[in-house]
Amino acid sequence: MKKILLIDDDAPLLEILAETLQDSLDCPVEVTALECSKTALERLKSHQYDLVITDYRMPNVSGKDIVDYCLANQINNVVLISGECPEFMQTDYQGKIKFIPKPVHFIEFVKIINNKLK
Amino acid sequence: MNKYKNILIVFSFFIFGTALITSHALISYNESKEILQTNIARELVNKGNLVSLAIDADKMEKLINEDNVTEETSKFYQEIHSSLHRAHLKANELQKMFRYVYTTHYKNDGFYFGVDTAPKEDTDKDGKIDHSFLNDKYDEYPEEMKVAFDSGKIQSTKEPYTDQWGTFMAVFIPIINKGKVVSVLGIDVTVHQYLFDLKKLRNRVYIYVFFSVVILLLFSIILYVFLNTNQKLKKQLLAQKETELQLIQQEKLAEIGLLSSSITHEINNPLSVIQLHLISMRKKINDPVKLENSIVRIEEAYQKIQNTLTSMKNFVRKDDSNKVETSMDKIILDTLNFLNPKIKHCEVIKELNSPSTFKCFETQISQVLLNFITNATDAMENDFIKKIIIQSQENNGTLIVKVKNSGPPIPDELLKKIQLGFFSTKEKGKGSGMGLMISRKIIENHGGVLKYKEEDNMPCFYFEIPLEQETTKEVA
Repeated sequence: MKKILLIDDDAPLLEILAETLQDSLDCPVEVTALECSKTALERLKSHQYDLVITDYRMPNVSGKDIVDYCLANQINNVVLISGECPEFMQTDYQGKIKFIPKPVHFIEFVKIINNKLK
Repeated sequence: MNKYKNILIVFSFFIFGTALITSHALISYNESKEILQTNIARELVNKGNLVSLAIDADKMEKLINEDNVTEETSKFYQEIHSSLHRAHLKANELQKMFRYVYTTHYKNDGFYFGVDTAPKEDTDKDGKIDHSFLNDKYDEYPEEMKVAFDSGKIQSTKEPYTDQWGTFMAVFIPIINKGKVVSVLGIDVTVHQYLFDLKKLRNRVYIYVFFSVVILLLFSIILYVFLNTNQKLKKQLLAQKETELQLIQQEKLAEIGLLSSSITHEINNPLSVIQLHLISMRKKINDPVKLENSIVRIEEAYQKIQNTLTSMKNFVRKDDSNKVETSMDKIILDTLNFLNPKIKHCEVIKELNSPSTFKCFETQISQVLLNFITNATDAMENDFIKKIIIQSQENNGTLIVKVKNSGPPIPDELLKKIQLGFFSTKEKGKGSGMGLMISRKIIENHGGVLKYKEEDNMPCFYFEIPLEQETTKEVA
């Protein structure tokens, strides 16, 4: 079973994203959904994940902080979700990070995540 | 059109003034002329009365009624003539005023001369020596002579009259014998002095009118210049006000532009929630509990989007033509609501103690608060602890609103630049650098002041405005 870490500070969105991941992917997954990005960062240090899906705009520890940590620690399977494509995505991180724009579209989201988990 | 309006006002002013001056001059002239005439008439009457004492009325009647010249009438004539002549000379002792002294009487068809003291000369150039003999007819006699004869009362002419011997003013004294008017003593005086006085008077009136009109003209010019300057100033003021309003509106739109990413975020999240739930609901048709949960989540998300759009609309709409009655606490809460996406990562402490209503341009005040708060969040962007304290209070009819943040204090030099406008420490595309300057303008328009200080070791922007504002400031 693949392990996914899902981070978003918006509780209703986090809930339905987790539900979608659990119900609609090709393979069965174990989703850890966290509202607090700071907790998530701690979690990343002690746990192994096959995929990290994170929101961009979050208090204290932002999506960029999460991405930075992942890339620095050879966690290459990262998906960033955001309303606007942040500037850093267009430069340093292009190709390394998959970007999903908001509003999240169900079919596209499921397709991208399935691809990432193959 | 306004240009002509001013000219019209000044022109009317000038014409009206001129009319006033002229009528005043005319009235004064006529009054003075009347006084002059009255004085002459009084003198004439006085002296005429004296001269008339020289005539023996009884002898005079006999002289007139006798058709043929007899020894007696000839004697009477000589007597009256010489006493009149003496009186004439006596009356003329001081001023050589009297020209002719004579008597006339009315008989059948007109006036006839009686006794005349005129020197023997031919002033009317008719080939006859002037002194009138008894019963010479007087054709163009003045009206006053007849009045004096008919009424038995002394008459004097008001205006100079002209007959075949020249232009004179005259007094007519009836000679009464036994209650019956038998003759009229006429005294003609020269009018040189009167005409000279009148001319002097007229000249004085001309000078008065001339100088008054010149002064009036000067006043009119001053009035015109004043009106024009006033109009220009008004126009300038209006234009300035207009520019100011445009600036405020522009800045508001700029702020919204800057907030747009926060706003999209705020709409995108619930949109995502709605979309994902709608898809997932197909699979939950047989699970009423999960279905119910989805419906609730969709409703919540829908409400969230609506709230965001409403608060944005409230902020953008330009209804600042009139002041509205509201309370500062309500404005603060509305603004925070609108700013929610921007400040949700900050700890916001509200200490609101200003529930009283007052009149203001609501969205403008809201704009000031928005400026304070976005400045605060921008200043704390890289800080781990982000704290904003918003305080409102009322003190003796003055509203005080403070916005403090946990960011670094602002150095004095920087503060000066910020307040002048067009200056920003933020990266390009993050602000116009005009926010604080425009905020100050808004507060000043509300009769208040905007200031900066450090409070509890925190940078603090605050403003004070009176609850009761001057109504003159309500021009928008």
